[in-house]
Amino acid sequence: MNTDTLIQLLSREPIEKRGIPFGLRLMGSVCIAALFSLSYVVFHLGVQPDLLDKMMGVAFWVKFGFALSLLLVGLIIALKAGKPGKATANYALPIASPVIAIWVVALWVLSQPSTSSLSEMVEGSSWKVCSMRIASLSVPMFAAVFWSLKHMAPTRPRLAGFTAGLFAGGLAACIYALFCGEYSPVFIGIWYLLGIMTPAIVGGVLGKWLLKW
Amino acid sequence: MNNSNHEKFSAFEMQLRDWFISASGGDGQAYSKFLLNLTPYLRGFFRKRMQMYPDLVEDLTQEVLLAIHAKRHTYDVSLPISAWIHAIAKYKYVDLVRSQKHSSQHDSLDEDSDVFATSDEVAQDSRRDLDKLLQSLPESSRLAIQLTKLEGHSVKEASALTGMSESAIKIGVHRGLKKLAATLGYKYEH
Repeated sequence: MNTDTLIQLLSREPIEKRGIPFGLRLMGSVCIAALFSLSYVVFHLGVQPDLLDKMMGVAFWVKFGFALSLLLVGLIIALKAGKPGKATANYALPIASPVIAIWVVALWVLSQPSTSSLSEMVEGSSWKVCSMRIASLSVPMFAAVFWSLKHMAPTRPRLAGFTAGLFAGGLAACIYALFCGEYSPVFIGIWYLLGIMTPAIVGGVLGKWLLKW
Repeated sequence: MNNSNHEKFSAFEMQLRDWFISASGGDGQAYSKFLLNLTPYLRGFFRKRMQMYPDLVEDLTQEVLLAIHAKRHTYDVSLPISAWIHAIAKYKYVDLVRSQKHSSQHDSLDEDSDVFATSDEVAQDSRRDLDKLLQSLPESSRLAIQLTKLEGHSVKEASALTGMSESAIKIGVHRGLKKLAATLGYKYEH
């Protein structure tokens, strides 16, 4: 087709029609997706009976804060990555800083005299299932955030995919924390991290295809 | 030196942005102006990068116009509109190069991809630099160098073309090169 004809056709099309705004689409779909994961944790795994007591202590917030900060970093960058020309920086540092923070806390804990051994702190009682569960719980949110991002125009698909996965993983970890009774920062710095990074890496690798437009 | 150019560009950029924003408010005429004025810019952008595949330039230009249309809700008004358009154009360009790479049976494009990505621009840049340097020379030296050194004419041909004597051509080349060398900080030895 002739380019001038194309321009004529395009400028004749009503331009106001926009569909659902991105923020609303993302929030709506992620909320619905989170309900699936949440109901699995609440009805199948079960919330910790002493959750309210735990929430009074620091350990809970170290764990929850770690997951929440990765969630937020992922969300903020993914929102930018959806808009061409917006996400131009190198985001290695903001992504790495929650990880560095939890490792610093973990090293500090290891340096303190303690009654539990290193392997107890690393393995806890659920190290075999923790990462796997977080990664599985992230699947509905992963689908929701990718579906929303596809309506935008990510020009750096690897970055967009990675941060979208990070967001889904962080949210999954927050939900899983309602059930999980592990509070050693060493445990969190390994198994939580692995569980959150799995959807992020999958998203980064598949971003090129999943977010093609 | 670049200031006036820069201002001209900013004015164009502001104008494009105004048109686009009016268009988002439903002004079809502004939208048509926006697209029409953007198109030569896109064409130039791709022509510079795709000299080996001139027939793809128009395809890519249209592709980007369509993409801009389909993704017009992704423009962040806090950004210069050129940043938005550039990111889209680059994405579509990379996408095309990649798909060409995959679809071509033989690796001809693969081998070219370095030329494709860099030396084209380098060549253009050095061409521009050279032109600038030549402009600094007196007319006779500039012509003599242009004809004998860049276009490959013999001294005799250059003399016939310009009406200068052969020795004038030789002297022009010699003085011109000496002056260029001095400008660039080299020592010219003939």
